Amino acid sequence: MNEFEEQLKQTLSRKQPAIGFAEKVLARTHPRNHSWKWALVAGLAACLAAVGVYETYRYQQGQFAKEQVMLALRITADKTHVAQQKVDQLNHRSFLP
Amino acid sequence: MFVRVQDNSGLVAFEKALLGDEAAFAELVRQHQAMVFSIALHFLRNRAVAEELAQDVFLHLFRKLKEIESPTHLTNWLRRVTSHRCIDQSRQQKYRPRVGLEAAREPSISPKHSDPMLQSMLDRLIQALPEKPRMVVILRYQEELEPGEIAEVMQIPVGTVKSILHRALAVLRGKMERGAHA
Repeated sequence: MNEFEEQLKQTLSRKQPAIGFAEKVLARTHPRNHSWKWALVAGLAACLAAVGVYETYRYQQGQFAKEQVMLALRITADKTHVAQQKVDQLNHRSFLP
Repeated sequence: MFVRVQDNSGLVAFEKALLGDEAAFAELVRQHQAMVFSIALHFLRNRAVAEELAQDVFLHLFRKLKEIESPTHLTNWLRRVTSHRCIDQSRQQKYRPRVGLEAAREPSISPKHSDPMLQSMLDRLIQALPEKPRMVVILRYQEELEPGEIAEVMQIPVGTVKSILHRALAVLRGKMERGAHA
């Protein structure tokens, strides 16, 4: 190996990384425990689902009540119409000579 | 073939690490950290990036440890993975030098004078080499590998390694000599 190559060898000599390098590698081999995060996510999802189901139920109940009211109004209107016709007939007869 | 002196502690640590002994794995890391880190440092010339890359290499080793057959295979594997990752990193994150080798500033000092300055200049000239020649020079003079061993690590033909090395040295020497006479 000539002088130039010796110089290259010196320039490219091995260097040590920062102290605690092996410990950092070891720490990275243990993935952090994220189970509590998953539990939180699952809990939030369950809450959202429950709220969704409850709101759907309330909406359906509302729709049913609305249909009942509409039906009641239609029946009332029919009855009122029949009563009106009868009153009109009675009035008509009372005016006859 | 690649490890000239393989002491017994390396073998013991390797065998224990294979059985899942974390302390032994940490010992394996300590035994090889200078090699892996230095290849990355000399190639990327950025201490933080080199350390991150070296950590990634050992993390990859931790996952692939069962596939490693012997301490010699381990050293060879580490060199191969490190060199490939360095080249990939350089390509992805543009850690390549902004100037080509021909444009690199020549040293204005004699090689026989101040060594730290000379080493710094030589380091910069090595850094200016394209990726493959740079890695070949690092493996040749940091790891003292023969062309056949470099070919195996870099997975390129031996003839290519020899020609890359010859050209890289000629360019580096030329730059240094021109700098010395400037």
